[in-house]
Amino acid sequence: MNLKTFFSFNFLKENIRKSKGILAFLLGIIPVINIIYLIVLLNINQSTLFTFNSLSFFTYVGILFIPLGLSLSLFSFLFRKSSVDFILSKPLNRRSLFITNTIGGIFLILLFCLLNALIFGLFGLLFADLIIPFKLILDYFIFWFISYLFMFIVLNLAMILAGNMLTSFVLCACIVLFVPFYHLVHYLNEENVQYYISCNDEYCDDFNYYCYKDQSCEKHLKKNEYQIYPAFLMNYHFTAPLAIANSSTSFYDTISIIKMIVLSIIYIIIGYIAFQKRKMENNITSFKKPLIHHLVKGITLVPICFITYIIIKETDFIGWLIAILTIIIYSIVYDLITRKEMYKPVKSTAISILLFLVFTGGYALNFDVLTNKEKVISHFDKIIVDDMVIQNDSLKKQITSSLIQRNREEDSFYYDIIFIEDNKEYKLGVNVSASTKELLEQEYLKWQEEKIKSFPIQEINNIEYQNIYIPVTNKIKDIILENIYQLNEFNLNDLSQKDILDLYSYQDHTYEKISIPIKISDELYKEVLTYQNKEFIDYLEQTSKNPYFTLNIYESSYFIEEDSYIFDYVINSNKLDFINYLKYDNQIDIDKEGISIAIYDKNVYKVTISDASKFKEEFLQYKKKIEDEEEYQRLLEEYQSQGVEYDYQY
Amino acid sequence: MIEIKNLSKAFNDKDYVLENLNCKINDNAIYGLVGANGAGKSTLLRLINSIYTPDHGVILIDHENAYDNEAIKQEMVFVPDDLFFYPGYSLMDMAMYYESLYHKFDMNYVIEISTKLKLNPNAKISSFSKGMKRQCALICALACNTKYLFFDETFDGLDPVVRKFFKKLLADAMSKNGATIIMTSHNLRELEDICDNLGLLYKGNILFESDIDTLKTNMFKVQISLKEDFDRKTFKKLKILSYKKIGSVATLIINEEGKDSRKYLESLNPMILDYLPLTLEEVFIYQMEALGYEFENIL
Repeated sequence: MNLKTFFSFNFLKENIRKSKGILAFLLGIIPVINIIYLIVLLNINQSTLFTFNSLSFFTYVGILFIPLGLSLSLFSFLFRKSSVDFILSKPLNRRSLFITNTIGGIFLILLFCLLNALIFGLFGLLFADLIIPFKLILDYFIFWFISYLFMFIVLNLAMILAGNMLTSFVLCACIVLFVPFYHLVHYLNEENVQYYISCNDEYCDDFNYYCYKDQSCEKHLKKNEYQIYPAFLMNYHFTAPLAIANSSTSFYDTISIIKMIVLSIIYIIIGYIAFQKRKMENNITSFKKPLIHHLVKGITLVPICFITYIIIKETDFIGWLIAILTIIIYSIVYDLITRKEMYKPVKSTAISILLFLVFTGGYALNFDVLTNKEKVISHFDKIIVDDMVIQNDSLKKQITSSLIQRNREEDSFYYDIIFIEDNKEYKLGVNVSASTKELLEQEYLKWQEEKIKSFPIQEINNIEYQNIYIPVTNKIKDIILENIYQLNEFNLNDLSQKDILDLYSYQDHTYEKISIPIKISDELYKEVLTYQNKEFIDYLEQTSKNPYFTLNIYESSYFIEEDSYIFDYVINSNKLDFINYLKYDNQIDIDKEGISIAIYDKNVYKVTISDASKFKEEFLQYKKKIEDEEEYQRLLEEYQSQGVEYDYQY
Repeated sequence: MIEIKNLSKAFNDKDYVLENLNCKINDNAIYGLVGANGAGKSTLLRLINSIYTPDHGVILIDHENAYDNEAIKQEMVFVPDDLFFYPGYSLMDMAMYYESLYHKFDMNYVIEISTKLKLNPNAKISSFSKGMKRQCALICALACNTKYLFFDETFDGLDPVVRKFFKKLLADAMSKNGATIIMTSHNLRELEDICDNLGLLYKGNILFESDIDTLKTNMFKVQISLKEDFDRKTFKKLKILSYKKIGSVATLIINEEGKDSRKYLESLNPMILDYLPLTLEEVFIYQMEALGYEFENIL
């Protein structure tokens, strides 16, 4: 088999050469924007933990116009007679032309994705403040390569089938949006359903459920069916151009990737056959065969008729008038755009109106959109709280029963919970009782412990202590690894924010987070505090500002309220002494009760002073040095005049 | 050799531009394709070059099916009526494009001819005049050194000097490289100068094919006047393509086809008998007229 009959490298080279300007722009614009974005992030001096979405934002913006630009540079010759003559007369067969252009486009997309991935990789390696795990870059590359490739192939197919650019856009929209449109109708259908949950066990013996003389409610109540108000989640795994419509928080979606791969293969095969059989005389005007023209127009009428159907449902006669007028105008405009002429206007409009009537009838009969329907759910297959799938049946029942409590008088605690029934996801805000909350916390604790055990400590990407970034060093990883067995000595429920260290690892396309006690090892605690203190001192030395200090005193007896009021002024007036104190006198002693001082600038800086009593003496010295200053006196008077009204929150 | 068998092409389901066309074009000749507007000349060239797909029939080039045949296309170059150049390209860029696709492309030829024609090979083609653009297209096509060259409205926009120059280049291509050139033109005088053979395309089919010399020696314009009253029927033994009588003098267009008309007409004892040669344009017009093409309605 001679590969040259399938692929012409020379033709590809020439194609790239002839469009080098536009290709350089298309392939360079997003990487350049990404570089600017990363530099801006570096300049705001804040460490950033990149998620799939934050890394992908600008790439997502380019999902349409970059593949479109590529398709246009490779296949738009089909829209002009002169270019068709020029290209098709060259010593290449159609197979080779199609394959060369397709592979050429895929190669350019590969280059584009590699370039972006390389930029993220390099920035991640060079700047510790930008936390971009390798696995995330790999996910970025795989997802966007397949997504761009999918769009490129769809656009190629649309261009091959259509005779001009506008028709190819219409066709592309039809290909990409038709199935999602069906799902949208389905979604709207679900949104208009009145949901009831059937519950017969003791948990649903609900004295707080009232029907407020609602007959429908009373009818259901007799059958132990209680109304709930869930938000139906659109979980259709749309292809990348519509990733934003997926209910998932991340664009990355494995099912969507598989869908795009399968569809790309199908569309490539269709495109190949269509290109082989394409009547090259079909340019300028599209779909010369009236049947095909009306068929494509008919497809585009499907969503338009849905809109007019809603208008008709919401209004009476006037709705019909608006709908028919809309269809007539659309029909004419469509013909003008795609055929550059008023194509048999009477016949064309008549066909459009006929199709409008058929589609409207279809919506009214089959979809019954916007009509209230009822659905009784007997049980939920899965209940998910904060990513935790509830396994405990008793807890599942308690949560389900919490759904139907109305006007709960006792203390309740709010949770956002996802319920799954028959592969449909619903989101509900649920108020649970204190006992359910307790059970939930126990379950959560067990789940957390399991998670910690299986957490890949060697693959930690980010560490946070009190919401402040701590660099991931091998030393820290080793300390955690060596001490994780001591976890049982701690009660995770009792830990406060200052006691826990959050660890993040990018696994399975998202960040897995666990919280471990920072005092699991003294060495770890010391390591973290040393880093934070150093960052704090560095900032103080560099800044020309007088920062605002937030004092967190765990042992409040060391300072009086007046001290808190004048703290900023005193420290800023003795900045150098304060820095020296932190540098030389503040040896970290984890056994002593400490003080934490924070500065909230673009970034947050915290310092922990181990020996509070020693620092109190130091602070008194600072006060003494400035006690004669006018401003100091004014602040004291101001505090005293406020008296008890001043309520400093520790 | 190009053999076209039962070739049909319709742009919509009913109206055939070419219908059941059969034709043979021998190697190493310049074949002129003439026909009225819409006769299907350009369509035929596009079909031969695999730009369009035939609805029926087959085109054989060197006894091989030419459709989408990469090896055969390597021996074919086509210069269409409506020229196409990539935006921002110079003649040199275009030549490099051709060079990458045609194995026998001769870059020196491009440089040599462009120098002779005083065309700046590095200037953007978009800044060239219509005629200069056609020169670029013709140079690139000739530099491909292919066995078959197809030109649609070949000399459109070229001034007489350049026209003559390219005619010489085409003749050289034929004589030196053994090329076969198929060209269409509305300007029959142009084809008359250069073509060996001529095919007249009419209503989707080749109406007649002949070498130019035969065409011109077979058809005559005869002015005749007889002593007695006469009409068209008087000359029924001859193949008359056109008959016009003004006063006592009639003008006949006769297709001899081997018959000796002069002998016959002299036997009628004419008062006036003049044999005038026909230009190719006149041959074309009278053939078309004979087929019912109403020139009078147009002119």
